[in-house]
Amino acid sequence: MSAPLLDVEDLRVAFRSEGRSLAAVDGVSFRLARGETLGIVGESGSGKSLTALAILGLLPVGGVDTGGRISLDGRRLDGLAEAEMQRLRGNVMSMIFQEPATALNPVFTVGEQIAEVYRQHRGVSRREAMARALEMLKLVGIPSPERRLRDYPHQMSGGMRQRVMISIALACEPKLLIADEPTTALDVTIQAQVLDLLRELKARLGLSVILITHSLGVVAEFVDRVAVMYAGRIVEEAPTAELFSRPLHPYTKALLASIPPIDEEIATLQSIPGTVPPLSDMPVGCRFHPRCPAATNACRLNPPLLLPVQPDHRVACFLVSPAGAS
Amino acid sequence: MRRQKLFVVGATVLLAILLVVVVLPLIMDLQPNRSQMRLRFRPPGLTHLFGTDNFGRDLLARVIVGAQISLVVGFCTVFVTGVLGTAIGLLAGYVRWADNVIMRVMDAMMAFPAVLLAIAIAAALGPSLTNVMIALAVTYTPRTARIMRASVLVVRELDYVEAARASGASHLRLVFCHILPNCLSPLLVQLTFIFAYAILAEAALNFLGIGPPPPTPTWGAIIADGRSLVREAPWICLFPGLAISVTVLGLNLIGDGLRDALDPRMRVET
Repeated sequence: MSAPLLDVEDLRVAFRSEGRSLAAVDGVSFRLARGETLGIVGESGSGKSLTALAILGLLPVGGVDTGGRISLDGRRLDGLAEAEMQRLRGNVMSMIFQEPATALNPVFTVGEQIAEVYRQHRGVSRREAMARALEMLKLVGIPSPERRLRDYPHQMSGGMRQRVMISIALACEPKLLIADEPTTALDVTIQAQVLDLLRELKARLGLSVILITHSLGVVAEFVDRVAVMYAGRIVEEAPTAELFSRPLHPYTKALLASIPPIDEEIATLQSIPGTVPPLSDMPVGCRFHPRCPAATNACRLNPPLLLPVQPDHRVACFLVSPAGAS
Repeated sequence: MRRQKLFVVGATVLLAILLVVVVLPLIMDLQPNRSQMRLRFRPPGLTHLFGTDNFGRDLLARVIVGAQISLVVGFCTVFVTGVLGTAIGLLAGYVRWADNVIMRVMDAMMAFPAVLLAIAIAAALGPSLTNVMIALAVTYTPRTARIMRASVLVVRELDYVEAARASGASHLRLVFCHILPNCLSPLLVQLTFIFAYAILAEAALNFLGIGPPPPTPTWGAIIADGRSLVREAPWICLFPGLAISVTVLGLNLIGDGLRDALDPRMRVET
């Protein structure tokens, strides 16, 4: 296996609050191979968006402690100067956001906004940048792109705005695209279109993608490998098919069980008892143990490590014996 | 709908004033300081539309020249306040550590009543029109800065600013291309009101004799001159007073109309 495009090791993001340090992302490690799509799944507040922001270096400066190592293409990103990060953002790695309605600046035309990124990183003329913007609108399948170039964001539908966001993110042909809930704000048919578009562009441009979502449906359809996050930690990581057919962590199992089956009637929807613990009150040991049906004493004492049960399937649970142990 | 009509009324009034101030001096031979002692205390009539004062000076000419001065002072104040307030507000709103320092200084300045502060500054600098403008600009800059800072604090957290940052925009670019344009509408409304306040305050300063020395025909100075004669020749105070009221009313109507048009929360009603 060649060197991974992105290597995140022991990432920590902690907020300082009233003299305490509250870890919202706590020791997250994962790798992303070239051309691979990794899904990061988790509930709201599980730290998935913070992980993405940390990779791009977009965390607020005050009140936040970060630790760990992030390497992109063999180059360390953590500790890089802000000016260097600016050069990488939107150029080598970009991000698309959940709300296309608010992620576009209302006072500029979409053409100008796509062109802005391209000019910034490539230093080309305004005319060349606009030509690139047109090309991008064609690429993401916006009808009559010449006319749409001069439209303002409010003149477009949600699906179209998300396509514009994708154009902005991909204008400089980045290697890494982080999509933070790119389809959550869209209705279902448009979701499918946007996912199809992302899949097509990924293949055409050789992108590596991190897809952040809480929708297992999107994950099943779109990603190669899944990392499940709970309360700031990765609890399980496996290839998509493996995860769906053989979930090992109790949280993953519960998540999958909460999807209603399509072909049978059920009396009640399955849910996970309890709620995600607040940052200020994280349980000691395994963070899932208060909600875990199978928790033992060991779970209450020490956090389990993320250990492989198979070469590509890692689980952080005391109840699952790691590879070679049994 | 009613609001829009009021805006149109305000705009019409202001346009009419501008027209009078710009066009009348071109077609009429205005001599605001020519005194004809034979013609003292003439009430308003055909030869002197606004009458004459105690030195036999034509009040129409004086009020029109006074309008020129007021509008120039108002405009300069708005311009300087706008530029300074925007710069300070952007800095305070965007640079977190600077916020506290800058805004506490602004708060301290706002603790003084506006006119009192302007009197103090104008008195310290000496009687001239430029100093009146400086005083007014200094007085109203904190208000503008405050409004600007509030808008910046809101806009800087919006998704498109984050998105622009995620695509590699520099701080300067974020501030001037993404934040500033989206903060302009409250600023515009505020500046319209500051225009009105500045004209009022300028009149007050001149009334108190802090403005340029006589015989400069500022509105405030004309009223001050006519004050002791108000029983014998009420028109001396009446016309500059009316001019102030109408101008300020027009500006306030425009400000209200702009606020309603630019504020999305108000738009629901129409």
